[in-house]
Amino acid sequence: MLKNIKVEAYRGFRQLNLEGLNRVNLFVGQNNSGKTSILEAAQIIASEGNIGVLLRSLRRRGEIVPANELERNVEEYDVSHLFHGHSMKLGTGFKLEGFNGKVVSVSCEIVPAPQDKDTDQLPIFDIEEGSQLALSLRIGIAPPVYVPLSPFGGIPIDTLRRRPPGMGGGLAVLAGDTTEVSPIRVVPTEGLENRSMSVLWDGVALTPDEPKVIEALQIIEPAIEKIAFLGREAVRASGGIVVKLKDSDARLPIGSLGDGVKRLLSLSLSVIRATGGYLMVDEIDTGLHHSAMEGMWRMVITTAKRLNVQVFATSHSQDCIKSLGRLHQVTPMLAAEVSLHRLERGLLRSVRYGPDEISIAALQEIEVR
Amino acid sequence: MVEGKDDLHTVIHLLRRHGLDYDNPSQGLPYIHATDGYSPLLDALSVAAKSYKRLGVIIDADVDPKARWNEVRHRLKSVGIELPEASNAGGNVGAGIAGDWRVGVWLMPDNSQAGTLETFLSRLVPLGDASWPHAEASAKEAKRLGAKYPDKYFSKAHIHTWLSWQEEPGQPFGTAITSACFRTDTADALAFVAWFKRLFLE
Repeated sequence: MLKNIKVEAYRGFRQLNLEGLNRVNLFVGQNNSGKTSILEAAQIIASEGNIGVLLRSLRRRGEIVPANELERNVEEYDVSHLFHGHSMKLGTGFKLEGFNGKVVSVSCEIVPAPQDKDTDQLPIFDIEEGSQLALSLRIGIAPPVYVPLSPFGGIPIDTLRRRPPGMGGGLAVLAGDTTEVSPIRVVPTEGLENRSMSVLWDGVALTPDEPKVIEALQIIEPAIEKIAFLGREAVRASGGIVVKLKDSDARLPIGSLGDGVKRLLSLSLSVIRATGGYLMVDEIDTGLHHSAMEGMWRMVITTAKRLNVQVFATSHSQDCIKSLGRLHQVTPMLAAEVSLHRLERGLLRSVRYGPDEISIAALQEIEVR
Repeated sequence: MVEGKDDLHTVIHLLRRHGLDYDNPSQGLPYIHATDGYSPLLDALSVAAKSYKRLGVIIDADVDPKARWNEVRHRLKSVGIELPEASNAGGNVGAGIAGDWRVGVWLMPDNSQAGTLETFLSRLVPLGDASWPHAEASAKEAKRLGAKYPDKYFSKAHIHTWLSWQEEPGQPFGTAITSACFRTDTADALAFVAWFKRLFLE
């Protein structure tokens, strides 16, 4: 579990310290205050420098551009956005650091591209013709890994498919001892695709966790009795996930029960399958009516506690925070697992609210967003 | 944040007499939150100071102004906000948790003497008002005859007794300010309005 996180020159942050992280951490703040960047930073640290995480974040944000005017079908990751001020000068870099019993630090810097003669000694991806610059990625004090940048300053999308010799384990494993890395699950704002949920379900079906998933769905629709993931033929008609309601013989596509039920399915599967690791949720309240939020928190916090998962989530919603306050009044033991952080532009640390303060804010209707 | 509804209405009506109109949204006046007494307000203080760019706190100095000032100071210090050792007579405005954030504290009646909202209001009674000392004597006499109000609420009883003898008897504090039963140009009133403007509008 990460106790604190330090971010330097990453995306919108010149510097930010997050202290007093808890089992469940909710990040709030105005638009463009960097909530999503914090989830990414936590994910990069939790994954101990997985470059796949970094690149997926670029993809999710649409930070992919044509390499140049002539070859519009050749695309590359535009890494400039990773750096504070979008600067791509030599020596520009960012650093992410966290403490989870040991210090985990990940730094990334723009350096001169190593020359061919060095490649025997260094883990390096193929150097593009004309490469002047490279990204140097460094985990702790391990030797850096170099990812050459194209003459246009990006990472060609296919670079990472051409793994350097001697580096097994896929593009995820770049450096350091990553065999011990904990699972990380991500639920984006738009939720998970049915296909992704189906993969998560495979690890839950017929285990003692299966009834817990049903319970989660019952927060919104108490009549749900069973859930099934269908094979290929049925997918077109139902989206692949169907449920059975009490006193009914019909099987209903999960989508017909509304966004909230699907959101709860994403969340419950993801937190269960993050056992011993991390869950990152962007806009955790998406699709949920305020009456369902207390139940959602109860499910997420209980499961995270039981399965040793640390949760990082963002929200815009005052109802979402209020429901945590109500939870504190009903079940203080659970609410004690939560801390709330507001990202405030210009401050070097987050504004943190402990469980008691979340409760006071709800009681006195103080807007902490 | 204020301790109760009486404080809230007093502030709103006093400000209106000085051109700050809560019915006019374009003036951008701050939301006023009334807690249910001093203790919940004190508990919410650090949370509010972390949440609002401009926070004003209006509380009764009560019997020991120094003690109250220190309690407030201590709570704000816990979130990194420093207030001076002694309360300033003209009201207090200090830096909040970030660059342009501000926190202000006003101790009723005048940031130095013991008292409450009612003390502040009693000083707004027109000078030489003949019924004012009579209301005081009546409230005392009523107590002697068995009236149930506790001693600590004497000034409340006094002021409400007096209000019941106005042209429109029994108006609440706020309305009585607007209908000019109370003056609004005393030194305390002017200092309060200046404090409010300095904190929220400058």
